[in-house]
Amino acid sequence: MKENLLIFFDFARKLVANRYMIGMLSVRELKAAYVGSLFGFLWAVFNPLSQVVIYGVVFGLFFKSKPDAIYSTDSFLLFLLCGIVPWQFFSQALSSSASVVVNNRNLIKKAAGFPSEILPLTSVVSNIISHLIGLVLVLVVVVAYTGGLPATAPLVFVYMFLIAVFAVGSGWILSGLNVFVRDTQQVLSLALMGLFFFTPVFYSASIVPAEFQFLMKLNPMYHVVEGYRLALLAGTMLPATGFAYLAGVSAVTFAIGGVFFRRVKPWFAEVL
Amino acid sequence: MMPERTAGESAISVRDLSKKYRRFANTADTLKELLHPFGKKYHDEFWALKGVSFEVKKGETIGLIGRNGSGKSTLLQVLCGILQPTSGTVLVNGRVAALLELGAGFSPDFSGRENVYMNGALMGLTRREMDERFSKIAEFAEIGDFMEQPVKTYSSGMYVRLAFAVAINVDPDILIVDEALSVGDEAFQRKCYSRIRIIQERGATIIFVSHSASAVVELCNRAILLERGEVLLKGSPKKVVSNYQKLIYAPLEKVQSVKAEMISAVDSEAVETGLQQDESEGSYDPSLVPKSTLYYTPLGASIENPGITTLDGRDVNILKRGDEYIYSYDVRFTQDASQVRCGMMIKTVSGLEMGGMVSHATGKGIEFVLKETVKRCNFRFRCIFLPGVYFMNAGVTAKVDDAEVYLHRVIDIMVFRVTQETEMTVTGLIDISPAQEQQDFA
Repeated sequence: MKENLLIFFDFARKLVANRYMIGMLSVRELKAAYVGSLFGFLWAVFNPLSQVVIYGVVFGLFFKSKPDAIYSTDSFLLFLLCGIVPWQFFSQALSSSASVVVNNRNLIKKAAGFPSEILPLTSVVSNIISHLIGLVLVLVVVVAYTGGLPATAPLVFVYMFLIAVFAVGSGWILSGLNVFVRDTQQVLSLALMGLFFFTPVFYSASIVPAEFQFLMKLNPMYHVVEGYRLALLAGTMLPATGFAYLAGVSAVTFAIGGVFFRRVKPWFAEVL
Repeated sequence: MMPERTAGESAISVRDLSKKYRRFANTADTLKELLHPFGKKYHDEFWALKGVSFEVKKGETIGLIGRNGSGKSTLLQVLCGILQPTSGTVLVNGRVAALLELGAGFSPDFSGRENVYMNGALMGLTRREMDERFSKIAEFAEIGDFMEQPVKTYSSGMYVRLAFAVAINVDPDILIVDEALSVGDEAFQRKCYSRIRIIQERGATIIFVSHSASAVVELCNRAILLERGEVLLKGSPKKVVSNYQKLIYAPLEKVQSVKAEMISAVDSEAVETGLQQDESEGSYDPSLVPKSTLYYTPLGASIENPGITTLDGRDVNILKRGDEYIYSYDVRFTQDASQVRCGMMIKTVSGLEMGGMVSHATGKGIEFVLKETVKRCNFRFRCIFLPGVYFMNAGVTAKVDDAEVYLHRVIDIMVFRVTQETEMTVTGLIDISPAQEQQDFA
């Protein structure tokens, strides 16, 4: 345990020491995602919007879904938007960080002293930037719809931070695994699809039968999506237990991921 | 500016280093081995390095030589901390700048400028420190507008120029250069070598991998010869380089005895000095034979028994610069021939034709040669070549239907080596200095 703790602190120190490189690599990832495409950064807006339209038509028009009263809005589209934007951040951060080590094999095999632990972090950072653009869209829509923002709105940054911490930790695990077993990416995309349906993005958590409520609440994304909606629409906070669970899961994932990555990283150059 | 060189302070210390690669037939086997309940092994092992030990003192320049696949690149990657040793220890003191093969860890999608800054950051330099150096780097790399283009659009020469420019401008304590430099053109190589000298003078430690014997002899204090992952020989660059050349030109069946000879020579300095004395007179090394010999189809004659001798008739293939030798071969005629001429050519390893001779001028060949005749052709030549390995061609032509055709031709029929010397005052490929007796300097 003490050894793992030392590994972890050394790790954290390295991240701070390399912040300049983290910045550069994050910008590159962002550029790779948007520069060169016709609409560039507008995709960060189009992407969630198009999903809102699809789910809105299917579930809002066909299934006549209505948001639960606790979100204090009757607009299904608004309800959807507030759930889809954090979900997309989460799923894109995870899937891009899973492949980031394999994609940068050139740096890992050729650059002496390259701190590969920063790679999953740069994926998450570049996704945070995309997410912030998406968040602007959400705020604009919420203000246009309801005429103002609740005082709890800044809380989304706390939830965002927690899910970013969770994503970095998972990114370390996934990207490390992916070096050895390339099936990781495939499994991940399946898992993300499954998780999407078990996260209350296009339905309200209250429609889930009581006996499954506990199971649903094990999913950290449940608390994030719930937190965003409560903060932006209802003007309330997550229950303390939910919040503590989210923070705990994120911190533990971050720590486990860091130690795991540090332990497998010496073999990257050989396997890649 | 020059850091103090403490005698005995080591920059790199490698102890009993071994590196094993696991080779799996396919990825599924990797997973099977990982998950097998009884730890069944699905891989076979390959030792890229075996029991390698050496010490590099601060300020030394070490030449690392060896054939392809001898473990040089693996060793460098371990020194850089990119690969993990399977056993043994590696200690590296100081900031390392490395140019490994082609690449230097550039990010293909980044522009040259971004890569320069990132490489700087990798070596622990701040943005401001890189700002100060950037113009020097750009100037050295000579890639002009391409600096703002993604590195993936670069030619391999540009790639290496930029990588080298960064590596030498970040003031490394230890500079590791793989064969990268061979990609640049000659002018750039010269520029690099002179920069390496400056870095040497600054007191940096350099590990240098090269196939160029002259570069190793010129630049290095010591050399290490790797063969199949083991240190076969370490010592003066001259000694190691000449043994290396002996090894690569040895025929397959003699490789083992050549190696054994080298290993036994490691312990006794006497052998080394003996070797040198021997070589100073010109000598014969039976293991130095060409492996690239190409016989053309004989059309009425065949070339046999090639040899180089001293003027008093001793067989040699290790020559001394400045001496005269006789290159000769037999031509056995299987048909009558007219207007017969013989020729020879001396070439470098890369095929550059250094000089040739023919027995008769065009149209002045031997009028008629009867079949079943054997004629010996002799070419007396002065060995004006600088230390290195050279190859010889032989050819015999005759007039058939008014056109001159080759009766027989052999490429790389002989190989000879010009011995390494200390304190040479000539450079390049050939010796342009006047003959000894005319040198009036005393």
